[in-house]
Amino acid sequence: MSRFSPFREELELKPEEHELFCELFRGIAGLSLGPQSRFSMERRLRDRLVALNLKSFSEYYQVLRFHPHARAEMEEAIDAMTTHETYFFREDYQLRAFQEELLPLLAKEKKTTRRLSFWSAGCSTGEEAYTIAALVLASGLVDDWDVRVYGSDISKKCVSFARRGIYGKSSFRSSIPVAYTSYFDRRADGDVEVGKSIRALCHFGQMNLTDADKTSVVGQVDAIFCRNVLIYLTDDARKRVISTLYEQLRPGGVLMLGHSESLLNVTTAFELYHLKEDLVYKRPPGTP
Amino acid sequence: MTDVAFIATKLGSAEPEVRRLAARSLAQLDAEAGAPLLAQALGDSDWRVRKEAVTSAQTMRPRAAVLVVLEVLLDKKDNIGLRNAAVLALRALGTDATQAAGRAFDTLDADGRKLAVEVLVGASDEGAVAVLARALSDPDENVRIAGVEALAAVKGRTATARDLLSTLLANELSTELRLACLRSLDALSAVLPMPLLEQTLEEPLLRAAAVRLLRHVPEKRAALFSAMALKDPQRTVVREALRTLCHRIQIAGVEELEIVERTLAPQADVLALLRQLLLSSDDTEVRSGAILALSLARAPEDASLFVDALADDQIAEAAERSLRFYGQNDGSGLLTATKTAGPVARGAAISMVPLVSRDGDAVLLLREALLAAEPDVVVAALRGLSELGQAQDLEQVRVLSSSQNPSVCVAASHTIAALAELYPEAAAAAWARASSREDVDLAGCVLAACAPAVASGHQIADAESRIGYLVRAAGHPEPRVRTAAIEGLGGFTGNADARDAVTFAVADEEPSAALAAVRSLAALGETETLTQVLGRSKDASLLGAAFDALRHVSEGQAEIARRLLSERLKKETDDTMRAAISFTLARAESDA
Repeated sequence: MSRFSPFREELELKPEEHELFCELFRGIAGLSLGPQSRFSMERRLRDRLVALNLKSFSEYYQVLRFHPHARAEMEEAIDAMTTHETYFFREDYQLRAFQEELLPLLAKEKKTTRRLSFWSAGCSTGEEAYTIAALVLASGLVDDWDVRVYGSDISKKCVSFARRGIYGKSSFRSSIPVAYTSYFDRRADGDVEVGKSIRALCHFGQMNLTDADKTSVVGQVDAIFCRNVLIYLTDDARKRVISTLYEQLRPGGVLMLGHSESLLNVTTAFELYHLKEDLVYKRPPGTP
Repeated sequence: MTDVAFIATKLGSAEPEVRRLAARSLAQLDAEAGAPLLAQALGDSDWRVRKEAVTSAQTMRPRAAVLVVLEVLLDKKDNIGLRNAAVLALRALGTDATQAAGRAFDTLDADGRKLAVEVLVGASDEGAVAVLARALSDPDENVRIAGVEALAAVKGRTATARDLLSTLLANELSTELRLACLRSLDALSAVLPMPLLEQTLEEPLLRAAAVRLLRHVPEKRAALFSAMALKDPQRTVVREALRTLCHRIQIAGVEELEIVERTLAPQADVLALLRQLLLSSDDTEVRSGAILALSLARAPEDASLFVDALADDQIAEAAERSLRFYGQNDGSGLLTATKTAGPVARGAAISMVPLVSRDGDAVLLLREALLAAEPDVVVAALRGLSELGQAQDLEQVRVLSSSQNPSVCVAASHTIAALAELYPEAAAAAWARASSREDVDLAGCVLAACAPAVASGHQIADAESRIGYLVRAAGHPEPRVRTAAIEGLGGFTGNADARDAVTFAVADEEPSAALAAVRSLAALGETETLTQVLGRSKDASLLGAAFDALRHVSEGQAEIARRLLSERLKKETDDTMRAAISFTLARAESDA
């Protein structure tokens, strides 16, 4: 069936099928999907049915559960179901707080090893990871230090995109702040390419944050950005992710969540750390 | 009113739909009581009623009663529709109908015997084949032809059917019957002896069918006769010869191709006809056969025909094969043709260049094509240069590795890697130059080709710089570059940067890079990380690789790995991972 088949619109996700998919995605990726998600799920998965020439969502469910290529197809499904919207310098008040208050603090703590690492957990197409790298370089506090920014996302496509480091207009909601323009190159086609200096700091990998199988490869980092990820997860998945992030943060390291997210009713393991414009979470120093 | 009476009333209705529904109801009746009604429905003036009755006959019981009435109906000369319906009903009863058909064949007139034979179309039992064999010697030619055609559809007893038909073909005098034999033998994919086929090829009316059978014959002489048939005055024969050649050429050896070549070369009028058929026939097989035959004739003026045909999806495969045949003798003609072809055909033709010509002209043509505006052409040229290019091409290809067209970009990366393998010294020098100016595209691609050698080599004096470079390359968008860089980092035991980069690369989205990370972790002695992968990974291939890596570190690590996996097997709930762990453990046991 072609991509433009007139039959595409006939593919309807029935309520009972929707429940099955919700259960499946909850188990695999911890996605929190309520009854209201039925139509968006139908819209987001429909292309996969067309691509696989399937006639119903029930058939697609069988593919995801039992087909020999179920694992690869699950990646496609999760990719379709997750939100990839992000952009450079998002939530600038928090980034300002990071650069002006947290970074000097971290630099002071690590002045002996001259080594800093950051993790953009759920980095989507990489804008946040590159933003962090630009902020760190532009601060001038860690020149010639060994700096790493790890970016991870559950979507293979997003990670590949992030590695390319080439972005269109939609990745920049406003013009690049003057202080950072030297870290980006404008291409002839109007797109913007991440410059070599910040690209060299960034490393990307594919990870499902609800699985502890791969997250350990990040090693212990000094700060974690996990913004606008927890809001899509179930309570149980949220607890597992926070536990993972706690493990991967060095004692004294900080965790930054999105402006609408908090650890209320999730964990008490972190300390609240007050900044001028923001609140962040800190793994208490000296914790094992 | 009884069911029989009720259905009888309905079958007498003037409304066809009422009669059709009544015919459907016959299925519920006892066959002995319902036999007259079944006969009535099978003889109905409306075909839908007859069709419904045929279906009902399959369900009615006892079947013996159904067979009796159907056998009687085969002799109803006054109603053709009824007889045909009876044939269809009997055929639908399968082997149960064989005896009835056999009895009908022995007792009925010629028309009845022909119908009895038609009952056995598609049969698979020995009894049916025996009746059909008798039909081949029937005094009536129509019955004999029906027998020949029915044998073509026999299921499971095709060898017997082929033998019967071959014998008949050899001994029969009637042209019509022999033609039917040839067609049935073709349907049965029969391999006939060449002398018998040669004999039939002599007869103009049989020639097309005989030529078609040449495709099944293994002897090389069959190719000669196929090629000779291209000169036949009958277009039907020429078209069949082209279809046959198309089949034979797929599997032909050199000798057979030479036979066709020798037969065709001097025939200008034949070649003109082939060109005409290539351009105008509606039959893809005919067109494919025509282009293949033309390529074997090797007329220089046809080079552009082959190149242009590459853009025609229907015959592109035959066109590609034709270019190979043609290019063996006239590479320069082909090269010239690629310059004038349309964009799609040009790209396809350029991709063929290394197959037909490897001389300096070919390389020049590929270099020239790198400047083309069409990405398809540039990509094809890059692929060609990956085989025929020289050290000096590295620089020009490098420029294309930063193309904004993804296909060109990827092809250029691959070509650089390929050239680096062909010219390692030039590549190493280019790598050193590129590294010094932070040209990750070129350096990365070169690295992909010769990473271990470069990483442990002397192009960059100090190890720190080499590690720094490899760590950056481990984040390159091209998976081959990342994989190579990660492999290279495995050579720097004790270095924290190398360890961190390799550890993180376990999460690489490309399986090849993640597996390289596992291997490098072993090389770096990072057994703890490998143990974590073994204990937690939900990727079967990573798990297997980590297990193998630990086994090669030391006997002690191998034992730890085995124990860890055995424990995990007890707790694992995912069926796929359970299977992967079981397989990995079983493999280890078998190796031991």
